[in-house]
Amino acid sequence: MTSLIHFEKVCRSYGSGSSQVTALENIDFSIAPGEFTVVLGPSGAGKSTLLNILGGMDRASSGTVRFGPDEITAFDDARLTRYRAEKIGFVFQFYNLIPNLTAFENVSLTREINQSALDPEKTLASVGLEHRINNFPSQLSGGEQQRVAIARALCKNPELLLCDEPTGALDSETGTQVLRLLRKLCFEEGRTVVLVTHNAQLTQIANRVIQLRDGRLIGDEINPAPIDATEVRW
Amino acid sequence: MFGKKMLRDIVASKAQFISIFFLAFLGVFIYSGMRAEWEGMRVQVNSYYSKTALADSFLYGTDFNTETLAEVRALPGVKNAQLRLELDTIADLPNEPTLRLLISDENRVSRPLVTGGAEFDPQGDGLWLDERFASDHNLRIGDEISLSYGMLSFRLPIRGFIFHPEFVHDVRDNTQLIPDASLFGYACVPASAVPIPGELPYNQIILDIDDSASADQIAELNASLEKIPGVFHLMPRKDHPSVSMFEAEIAQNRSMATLFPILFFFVAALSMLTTMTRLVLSQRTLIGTFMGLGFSRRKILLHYVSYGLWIGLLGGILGLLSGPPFIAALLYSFQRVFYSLPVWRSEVSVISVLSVAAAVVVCVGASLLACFRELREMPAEALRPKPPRTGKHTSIEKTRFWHRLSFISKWNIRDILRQRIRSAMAVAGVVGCTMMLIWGIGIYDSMKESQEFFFDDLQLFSQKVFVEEGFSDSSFSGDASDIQAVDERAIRVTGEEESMIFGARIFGEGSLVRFEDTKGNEILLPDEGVILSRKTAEALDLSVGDTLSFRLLGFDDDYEVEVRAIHRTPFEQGFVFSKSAFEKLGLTMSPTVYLLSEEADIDVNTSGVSEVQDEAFMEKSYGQMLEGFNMIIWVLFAAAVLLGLVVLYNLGSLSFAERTRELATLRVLGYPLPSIRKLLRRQTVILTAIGSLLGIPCGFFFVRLITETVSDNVDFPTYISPLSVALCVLGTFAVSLAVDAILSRRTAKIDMVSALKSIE
Repeated sequence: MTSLIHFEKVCRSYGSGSSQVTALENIDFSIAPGEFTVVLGPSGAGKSTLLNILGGMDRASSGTVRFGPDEITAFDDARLTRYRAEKIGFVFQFYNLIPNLTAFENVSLTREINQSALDPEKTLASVGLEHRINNFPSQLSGGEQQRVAIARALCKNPELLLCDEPTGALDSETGTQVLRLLRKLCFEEGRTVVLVTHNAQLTQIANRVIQLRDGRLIGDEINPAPIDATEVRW
Repeated sequence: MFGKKMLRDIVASKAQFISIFFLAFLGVFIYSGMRAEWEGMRVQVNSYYSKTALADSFLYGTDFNTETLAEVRALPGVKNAQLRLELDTIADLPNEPTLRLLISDENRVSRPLVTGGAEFDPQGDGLWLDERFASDHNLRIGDEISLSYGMLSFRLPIRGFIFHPEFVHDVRDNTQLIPDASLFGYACVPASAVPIPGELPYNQIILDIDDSASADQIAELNASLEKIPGVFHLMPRKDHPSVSMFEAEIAQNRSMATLFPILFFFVAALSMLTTMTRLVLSQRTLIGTFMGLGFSRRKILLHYVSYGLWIGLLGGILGLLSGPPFIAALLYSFQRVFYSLPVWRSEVSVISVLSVAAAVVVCVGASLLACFRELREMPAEALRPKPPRTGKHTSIEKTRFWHRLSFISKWNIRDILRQRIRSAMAVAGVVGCTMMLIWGIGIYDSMKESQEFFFDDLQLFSQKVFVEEGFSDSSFSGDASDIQAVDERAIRVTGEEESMIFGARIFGEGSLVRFEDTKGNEILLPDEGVILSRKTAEALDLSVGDTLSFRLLGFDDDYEVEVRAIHRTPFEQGFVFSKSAFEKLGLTMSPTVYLLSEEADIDVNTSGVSEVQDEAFMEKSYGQMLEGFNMIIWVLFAAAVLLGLVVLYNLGSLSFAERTRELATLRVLGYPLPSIRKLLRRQTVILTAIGSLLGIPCGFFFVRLITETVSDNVDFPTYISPLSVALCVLGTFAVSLAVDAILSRRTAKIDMVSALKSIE
């Protein structure tokens, strides 16, 4: 099977000279289309940096990152912006909804930048929020806000869904709901999902687990039998 | 410790604090500067008047002599009195200027201030010449001037240069607005220097009144003075044209000086409020920490209030130090064109110092208001981050119009409504900017419009010849052009409390002067009754159909006349009669001026001709006055642009800081930079559009304020051309988009990664 994502000798360091800090060092891995990947590591391991480089928000200092046929490490800013707009759906720990826009309008945002965006109303319905579309973020619970954020990501019809600690700010019950939704998107709808977390329990739901520590890759395993999100013990 | 924290906070938000500093500075700078200007004028002119013992009353009449003088001096309340002969002579110099001689054998009242040459000697010979006139004509002490008055001509050597307190506004009469030393000047001449045999035919008695005299005693004295034989007219000092003109100038400067800075203080208060609100909000958890550590609310409050205190104080003090020397000097350079004072020196009063306090109060008050809300909470609550501002459905969302708006507009309208204070501040800044642009350009347009109206629509003649009594118009018979005779004189209207003097013009046959009513329709001079100028009608509270009674100067007969129409003219306010209407009252017209439709080559030395004015020349001197106004207009433009830049920059960086997170999210979602800039620019455009729309009427109001108060003798229509309004709005947008261009460079620097990490 050809890989969707391919990292080759990717390094990322900040600063220069003696104050140089290395966040990622010689990272190599591949992810196949339709896989549910969990990137695991303690805080400071470099997992967010990895996600940011993959999502086109940050640049590798060296090495190459491929997405399908494209080498995104060679993209200029405009091309990166288009890459984010067309291929990537983001879900953040703190949802990052625009407080000034309703759930519907937050999701509709994507239609401004992506011609092939899906219908916002249907997308919201698919995450179970059809009755909340005219509410502002402040009128929604945390779980609901995260589902709006997921709908916003899905609306682009992205090839890759990137989630940075999507359950980090949620209680276990709503966290489980969000995970179930993400699993459904992957295993039933065939989307590729990369989820970053420090919670080792979440590795059980993935079929690939990448482990980082101190900027180095210390594990890249296939989980032959991923379990359902409801069975995860928090 | 708190001091260090404050300094670092200020450095961290330097753009905002610098702009508040600027607003406080500008408010005090302009207020103290303009106040120092008019107060300086008042102090200097008063000291000038008292140093030269400017007359308290002027008696005009004929054939005054030492007996009349003795009679006046004997009246109770008279401190000093002096005979004087006022004579308009023609000097034998280029342009044949008029030189007004003040001839007297004493130097008690209205004394000249000698600035060069010999001390004034009322028993000496020669003349003491108007300094401006002398320098315009390159005359030196010892030079001789040839003067002629009718058949009489004589030469006098210049003994000294002078300023005279009755010529602060150094003009021939109220038809001349701008002094022009090449055409008019004055000189003090000892009686003994004039080659007129016997006692001079004095036509003035000038007198000083005892300082201790009460209002009743003065009224009694005035009544007795008017009964003295030969007296035409008694004029108290405040009605003297030069004195009242300068007084009006001071009053006008005073009202401008008050209105202008209020705007700056208002905007400074709004800026301080928004900036401090944001600062306090961003330091919410910090405040909670301070409270938790045991700092009292008062101590924390004092800390945040000190931001306003130091910024306001610093801006205010710098404004106070630089305003008076800079603004006053700038405005004095303009005032010197119009007025002659021996000394121009600004005066900083206690109230100017208080304006620094006002700046501090404005800044401190806004800080207090911003802090109060946050400090009421319990420490534990304050430690928690504040929930984000809720979005709300606003009432305009229910309208059909809402659905037609683009996504960007919807977002921006919600954002504007969510941040009301910030938006109000932006609108206020834009209003101020447009208003001052309109103000500046409106003053110019109104004056220009007056010029065209007066010289092109009303005055159809091209030459004006001033003649003396007994001149025969047969001198013009050789010329082919139309001639119209005019009798220009003064009349007195006696009201219930005091009598007022007005100019009256009686027109002979002809149509070289047009009259228009206030709506712009032509008025033909009626055969009966009088027409009044708008300002005169207002001063007398008369309208069409009313009757009034007047007297000729020096006579006690009352004439009743009906107001037939009210006309509008920029200059020459007063009464207008046709010859036949005037004669129907039993009065005789005796022409003092002839209007000629074509320019004729008339020698000023022709017997009976006292002065010749070309319309082109008059219009040119008006044009020069307009140029003088350019200075004020540029000051207004500069202030407008500065205010716009400061306020909009402050707003823009605030708005940017508040929305960094949202903008970063958009960047991550894949919004291209140009779209984000467009989003930000849309808000600027909406607020600028609202502000400039509101600014237009405000600007009109201020222009009107100026044109209405400029003087009782002139009536400038308030006029601003549509092109000018468009230019002002365009200028406002230019300022606003310039700020936007500066700020939009920051959008490229948004750090997507760190902005998304966590809520501060």
